[in-house]
Amino acid sequence: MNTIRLDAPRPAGRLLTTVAHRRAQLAAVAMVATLGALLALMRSVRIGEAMLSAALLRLMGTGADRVGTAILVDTDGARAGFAIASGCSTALLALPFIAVGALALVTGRVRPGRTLACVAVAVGGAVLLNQLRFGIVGGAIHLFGFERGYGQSHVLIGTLVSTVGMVAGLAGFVWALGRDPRATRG
Amino acid sequence: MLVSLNLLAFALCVVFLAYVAVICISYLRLAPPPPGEVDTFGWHVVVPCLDEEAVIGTTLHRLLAAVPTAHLWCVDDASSDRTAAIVAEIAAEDPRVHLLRRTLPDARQGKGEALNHAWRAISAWEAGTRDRSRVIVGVVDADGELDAGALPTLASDRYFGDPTIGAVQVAVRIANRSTGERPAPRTPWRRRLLDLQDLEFVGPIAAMQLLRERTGSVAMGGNGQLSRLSVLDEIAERAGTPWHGALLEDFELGVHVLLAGHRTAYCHHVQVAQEGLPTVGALIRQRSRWAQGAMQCRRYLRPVLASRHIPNAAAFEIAYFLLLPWIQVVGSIVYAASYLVLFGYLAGTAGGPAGWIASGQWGVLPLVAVGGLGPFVIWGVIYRARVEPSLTRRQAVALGVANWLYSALHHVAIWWAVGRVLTRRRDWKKTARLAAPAPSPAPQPTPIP
Repeated sequence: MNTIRLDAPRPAGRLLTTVAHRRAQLAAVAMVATLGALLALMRSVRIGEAMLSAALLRLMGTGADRVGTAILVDTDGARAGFAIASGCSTALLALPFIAVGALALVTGRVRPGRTLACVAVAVGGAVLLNQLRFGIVGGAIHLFGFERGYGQSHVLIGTLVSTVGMVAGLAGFVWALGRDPRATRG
Repeated sequence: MLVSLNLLAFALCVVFLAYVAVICISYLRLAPPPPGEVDTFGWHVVVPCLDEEAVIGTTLHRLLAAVPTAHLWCVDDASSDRTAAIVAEIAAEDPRVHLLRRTLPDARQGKGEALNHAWRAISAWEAGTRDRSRVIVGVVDADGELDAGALPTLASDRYFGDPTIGAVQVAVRIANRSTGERPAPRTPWRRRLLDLQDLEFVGPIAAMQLLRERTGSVAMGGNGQLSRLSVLDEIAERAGTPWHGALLEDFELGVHVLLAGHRTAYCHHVQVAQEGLPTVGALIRQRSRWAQGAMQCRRYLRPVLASRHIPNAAAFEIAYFLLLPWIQVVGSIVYAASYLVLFGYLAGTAGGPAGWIASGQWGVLPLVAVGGLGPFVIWGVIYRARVEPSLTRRQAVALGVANWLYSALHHVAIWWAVGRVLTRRRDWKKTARLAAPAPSPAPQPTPIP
């Protein structure tokens, strides 16, 4: 194989200054720590999401309550519901945004402030997306009863909503990070 | 365990669907550029040759007619057949054809070395004659057919008419597809395999390149790449030679063009046609070589990410491409395991598949159709709409479904490449040409919308 002499990355060749790049790396570590905390506190996150979902359903006129990580809604004179499993939690939907954001920071190509703002918006979007999903499932149970409502909304509509939302979110997230004007042609 | 598998499959699916959605949008927004002034440039086309007696004569005659202002440089890499003799005969009749002979032990060191040999010869030929940024050096494979209308389009302001553009890659089509000029194989499934390669080149690969037009990271391909001589000189000054030793020497060149501070562009309105591979074995071997080449190019990850010349979006896209083989390795395990789990549920639920569907899990099936098949089937539909309107709707959908099965070959190829990386093997046997194409008039430009 030929020996290739590529210009070695110089400190000045970094797109951020050394100090700024160190700050970016610290921000990346903080983001990874946040991710770890989210995973460690998964049950608390699920309880919080169930509380929020029940509150939103009540706001929309559907009798709803939370028990542990489950959301219960009024249907046919009784209460029925579903539990938020680990795989359905926002903590896991937020994972790709935090991971990609941390990686982008490590490269030194994006500013920490912009990256944190993008991650915050993306995670906020993931929370709303998940609430939309829970709302659809809860609403369907309320309207059509548990058997039909849950069966028809949980797997198909719920997954479609989260997939379409995540596809749009990830494309927008990478687009927003890529628009950081730091990198300019020399 | 199942939750992790489910999440990983979902994450990979989201990334894949996001990518397909973005490249589809880029593909459907295409418009042709006005032609440029061909005579303000000097044009050279390099044709690397190794045992090409079956095709080289026809290829040169076609090129002479298609690009009448260009010089053709055939680099014979110590062929064991009559390749050099055929080129010498044509060169004796037409001064635009040049034969460059490489002999063993220096020959057969890979396509990159043959191209470097041609670059030295063209450099010497053009020494002191004109502005080297107005000299364009193209590469066409020995079985390649370049459009007759190629040069005016390439000289336009969107391509070499723009001084910031350092290199351009043109669209690639499969010449021996069912609807092509060259004879297609008689066996139906072989014809289908060639059609699928054509769909792939003119569909998702073209769409990826059009997305890269927007991000600023267009990749060079092995066939139909063109660069300014001044840019090749600059790369040689920085890195020894323009082309290097990776199995994806074409991709490497594109990265070097970007690292040197120039832009790369993709021209979908000019096409170069090449022979497709009619057997699954040959196709998997080719794709393994590509995958191994991409793995070798990981050494460019750091320079790309550290480069001031490469915009963020381009750097991220190139990083994604360089990591793609490893993502595919993980994906091949995750997707296979996901399907196994699905079949396990179908078989293990009381009442069999019907019982499983009745238990409320029926929603998984449309999800598999939309998320699993959809991203592949859509290319059959787009192919009919934009490239091959002679296909019926049913044929387009069937081609799209076949495209899904075809994608499975990449999973086999990626593991072959992993095996070769682990055993440190870098040698690749050259794919043999099928047969001499029937002589025909100079190719006419086929409009690609």
